[in-house]
Amino acid sequence: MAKSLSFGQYYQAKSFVHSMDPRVKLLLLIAYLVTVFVVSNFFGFALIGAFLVLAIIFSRVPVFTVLKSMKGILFLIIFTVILNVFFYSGEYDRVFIEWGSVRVTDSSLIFAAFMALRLSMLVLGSSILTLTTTPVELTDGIESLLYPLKLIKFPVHELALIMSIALRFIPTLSDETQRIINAQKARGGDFESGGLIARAKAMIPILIPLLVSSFRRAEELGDAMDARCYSGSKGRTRYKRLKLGYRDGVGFVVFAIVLAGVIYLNGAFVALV
Amino acid sequence: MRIICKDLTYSYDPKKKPAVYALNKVSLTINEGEFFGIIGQTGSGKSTLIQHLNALLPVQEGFLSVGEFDLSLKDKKKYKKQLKELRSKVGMVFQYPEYQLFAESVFDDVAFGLKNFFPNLNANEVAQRVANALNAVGLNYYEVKDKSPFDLSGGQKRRVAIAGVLVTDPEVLVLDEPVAGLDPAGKKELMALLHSLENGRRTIIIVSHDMDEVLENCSRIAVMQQGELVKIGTPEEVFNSNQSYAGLNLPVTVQVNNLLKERGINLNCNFKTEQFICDLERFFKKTTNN
Amino acid sequence: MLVKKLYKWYNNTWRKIKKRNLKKAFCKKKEKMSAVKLTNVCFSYDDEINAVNNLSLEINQGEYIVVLGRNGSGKSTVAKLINGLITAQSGSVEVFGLNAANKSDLFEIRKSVGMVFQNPDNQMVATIVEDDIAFGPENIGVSREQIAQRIEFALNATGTLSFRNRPSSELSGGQKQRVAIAGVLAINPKILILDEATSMLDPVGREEVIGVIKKLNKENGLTVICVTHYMEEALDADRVIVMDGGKVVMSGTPEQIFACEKRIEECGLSLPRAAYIYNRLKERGVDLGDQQVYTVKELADRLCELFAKI
Repeated sequence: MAKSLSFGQYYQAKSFVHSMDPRVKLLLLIAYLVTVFVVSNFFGFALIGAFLVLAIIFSRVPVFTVLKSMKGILFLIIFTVILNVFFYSGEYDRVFIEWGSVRVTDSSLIFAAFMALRLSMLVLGSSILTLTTTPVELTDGIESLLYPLKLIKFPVHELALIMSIALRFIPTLSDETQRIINAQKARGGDFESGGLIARAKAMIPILIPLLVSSFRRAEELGDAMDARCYSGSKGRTRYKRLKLGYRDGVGFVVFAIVLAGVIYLNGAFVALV
Repeated sequence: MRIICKDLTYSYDPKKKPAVYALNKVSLTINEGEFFGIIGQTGSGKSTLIQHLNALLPVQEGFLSVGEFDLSLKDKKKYKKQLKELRSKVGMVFQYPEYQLFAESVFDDVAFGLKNFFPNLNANEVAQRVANALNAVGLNYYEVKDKSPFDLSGGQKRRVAIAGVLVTDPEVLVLDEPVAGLDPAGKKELMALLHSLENGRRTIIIVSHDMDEVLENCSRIAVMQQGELVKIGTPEEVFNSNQSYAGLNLPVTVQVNNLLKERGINLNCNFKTEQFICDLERFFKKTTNN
Repeated sequence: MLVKKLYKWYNNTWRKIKKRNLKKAFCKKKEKMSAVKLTNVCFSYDDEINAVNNLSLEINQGEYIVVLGRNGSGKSTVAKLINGLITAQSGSVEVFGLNAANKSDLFEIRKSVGMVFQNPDNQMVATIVEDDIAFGPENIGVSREQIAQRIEFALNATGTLSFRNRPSSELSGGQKQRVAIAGVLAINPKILILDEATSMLDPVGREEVIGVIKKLNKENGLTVICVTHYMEEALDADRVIVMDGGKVVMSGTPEQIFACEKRIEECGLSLPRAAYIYNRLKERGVDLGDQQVYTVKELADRLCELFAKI
């Protein structure tokens, strides 16, 4: 049951990307996302796409698993593409179809293709990070990157802990949800038919037990943490130290080359958008 | 209602190769009015099996029928059409059922299933049937009906949850680990309660990993292991076979019997504790009198 | 004057030092040191019924205690009181001489009292086993190298070394509870409390956990307080405590406790099945010897002896 949650779920393997420093992966992801949005022609996309492919290959995560993360966002992508194909209002050279105010032009097609590419690359890139980085590493990385914010009394440690606990409970709660759904289904609960309001109402027998049980779990977890001497970030040590390795250097260099290429290509060719 | 299961096979991840089967060619028949026990370790497939009985899991391979309902129908429309009626007749009490309570009052919670299955019942009929269900689980209708289910004690909550399933007067009642987490006295009471629900026609199926519990209470037992049915029969048939079941502790009386057998003493006793004691008593008294 | 004062001061100090040394020496001599001491403790969750009612109890270091009682008898409340998760409304709870009512001592108490709870899913903080075990030692400020050693020790002691890098959600109930024990061991406690830690497990899981606990008690000298309603678990205890209505109603060796069948049943508990069979047979005049039987093996042995006689 928990296995359907591919997005944000760690894929266990030993690979180049897996053993990179989570901070580096996070920073690279941010840089990658920005790059994906500044790319202005297909050559640039090819280059950044090559980087993505490289990352997938070196992560040793099966391509299918990576692609599965698109499932949730596929609808959004299709929706954006349709919207852009028909309603893009920029300058254009050729018109393919014109129907009142709705027009399909060469630039609307290109723009829609760009949007689709951008969104999918965004999702694929992010899922590479979450597939190769355990939630714990991820929160460690975020905590470490946010460390300077401690100076302005931002509760960095608490935030990281909350995130890590939330991630830890995803499989537990998803199993629990399935159990409750089954129990109410067996009592004739119907969650699939009826209008929006009827469906929302039908969710009550699921949501209330889930809420009650989450509170119970939270309370018990609180006790367990207290019993294990948790008393905030003060005086706390860390077992795992994040260490930069040669892989992180390689990652940076490769990305720098890609970035330089993208910038060069952006200048060398006419921006399509 | 008679339950017939032939070569029932199920996998949670059918695309995976090599396939991992939660159920592997399980064939069994459960007769009307039986108090049937399904026993197995965690992950042996017992929960998967019972979820098939009221169509919470679809039949992937094999045949399954519950009374007049054919659950291996390939015709999706026909299959779906019978679900509601099937579920009203096959009651399913999950593990820790108290965690599924949700309504503001005990009455509403118990009536939930009834109103889902029979939306045309009038208020009087609903009240009557809720009262019957609550009384059947040993709770006083007038005392508890307006209480919030969350204010009850743990044992009472579990009873309310069972009442919420009993309210449709199901012909088959399936309970997954009904006594889990209860203390010895609570276990005894709940088991006695389940026996009081027998009426000759109603089939009661309990799922457990406690061999003693199943032995004491069930007329027939199925033992599951890694998705396969390894043994089925009366307690005598299941435990007389010198078979050990990995991951399960044999009942105490069977263990005693086996230990004596190893030393060449054949008791030939019934394994139910009270019977076992009587048989032993008779055996010794007879031999001393001779 | 001054001399007199000095002399007095000298004398007093000397006496104090002597007294302290004596005390120390005395403590060392006493073999069984008290680990937990509850005196006239009362606690209620909602000011109506006392969950724990004027309870006094002393537990010595190295003891293996099993606390039995029906649901709602107050046994879990006692466990929480010892760890300072809740504070007694009256009476005192002392752990190695530290008072749990003192907020300043609470941290020290929790360091020496580890606790494993009922639901294995609700006590893990981190997704990966190793990270979860590190949580405790991190909290008490252990250095990185030390944490690594402690994790190694805890994993070995609980037989969970092979799960080290796995997510806990993939483990079975018994494995999860062993990881939970490892997480507590890494804090290096002197007392281990199991609050119905086996009640959600199947027989295999239960045996795994009890096996680990017994080993820790025997080999590492850990004081174990096991709260349960599985009677079979009580057979291995040094001392069994039966609670009902927030009070200790019986206390003694398993033999002493199981000799009182009626009282046990009044407390909502039942004898181990082998002992039950022995008692019934005895009542009906089948002579299996006077010594009470507890285990399956003992019962089989006695039956065998009787056969030999006939």
